[in-house]
Amino acid sequence: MERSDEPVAVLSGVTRWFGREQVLKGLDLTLERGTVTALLGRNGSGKSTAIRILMGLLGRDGGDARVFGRDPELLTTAERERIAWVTDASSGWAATQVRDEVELMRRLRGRRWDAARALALLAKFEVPLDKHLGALSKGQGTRLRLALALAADPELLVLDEPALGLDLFGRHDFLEAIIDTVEREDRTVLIASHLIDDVERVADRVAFVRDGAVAADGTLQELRDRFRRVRFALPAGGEPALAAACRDLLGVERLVPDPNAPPDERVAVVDEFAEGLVAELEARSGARCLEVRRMTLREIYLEVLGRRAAREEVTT
Amino acid sequence: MERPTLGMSEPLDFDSDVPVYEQIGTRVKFAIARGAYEANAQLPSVRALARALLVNPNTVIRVYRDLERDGLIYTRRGKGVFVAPHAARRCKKSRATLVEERLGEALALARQAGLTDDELEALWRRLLEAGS
Repeated sequence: MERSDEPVAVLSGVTRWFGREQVLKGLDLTLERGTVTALLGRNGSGKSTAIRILMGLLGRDGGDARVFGRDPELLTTAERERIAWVTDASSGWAATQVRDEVELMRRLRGRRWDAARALALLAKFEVPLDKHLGALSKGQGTRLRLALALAADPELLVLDEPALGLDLFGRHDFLEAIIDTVEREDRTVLIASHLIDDVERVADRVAFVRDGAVAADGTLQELRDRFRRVRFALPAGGEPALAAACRDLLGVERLVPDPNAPPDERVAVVDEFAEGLVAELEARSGARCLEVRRMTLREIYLEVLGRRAAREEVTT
Repeated sequence: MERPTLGMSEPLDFDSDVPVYEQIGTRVKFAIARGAYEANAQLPSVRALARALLVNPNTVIRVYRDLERDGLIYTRRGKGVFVAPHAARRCKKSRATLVEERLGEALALARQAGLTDDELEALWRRLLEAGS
């Protein structure tokens, strides 16, 4: 049964197949009450599938899922009304006016849904009520969906790539909406996004999703405390000696040549960095450590989610 | 809505090694040190500051919690956050400490670069004149 000190939602070891492709491979995620959690991952990493399972819109093949202490597939109508979901996908009839969509929602969504609040938000977001849904710009469509979701005063607000198509003003409104939501007690937000700059502002916790599982997670501070970029001068034994020592002592699989550094230098990105290991590594390999520096969230993103491929996806 | 005057036109640096809550805390201390908020004056609410800075309210809560722990502010339930008496003196001191630290780092850099004391003094005078 639901308790106020328990997480709002938990996925543990969730698996899911689509045909012969396994999309989720044991994904773990916990949403603590009153926090903003960001899912960062590339397209096809499994973020949206995890969200759909969490929302009870999609079944799972294995593992456990709980929302408000209950299996999401078995949520009652009253419990569902406490969740709001915003996606990039547009909905509604193209020929419907915005005001008719609001009226439709007022009748469809339960008593929790506040039409006056929806209208106020639409005015603030500058979405004209007499416009037809088919004529809305991509950004206006996103703002409409956000307004309709917020009007439900959700306890759990789930945003799946919500900022797509939003310009800077739209993103500002959108960040304010998250801030206003979580500022109120016991409101929880889950956001899947590519926009690292936005995520850094509003997220309490970040989970990097790669290949159907969470590759790394923690608060922003924890993640930044964990990773270090270490620059070495190659030893007499050359790259093989350094690579072997990095692998054995630091758990680093590969060295990265730094395009801005001289050819006799290499960079290792170290997870779970510990100060003492550098001296031991120097002693064992003969390499000299030139610099240890902390990494930005963007650098950690590129590292955790696969450097080369991810670079194309990080925008702004 | 109250308008925070905490020197917030400077953008926060999310890539900095200094955590964002510390950056915000420093700005609050500087604002108190220069008298923008006097003893017992009310500080911006968590919500107002979070919106002004576009950061998670939990971050602002942490800032205020740290400042309260240090005795620089106090909260009154349901009323808001206020500057503690004598906070200005201590904020001025911490402001001086921070600037001294930065200058110390600059000095270390100058030594490393091999600047003489005379060159340093000339440089410093030039900076002061340019900045005034």
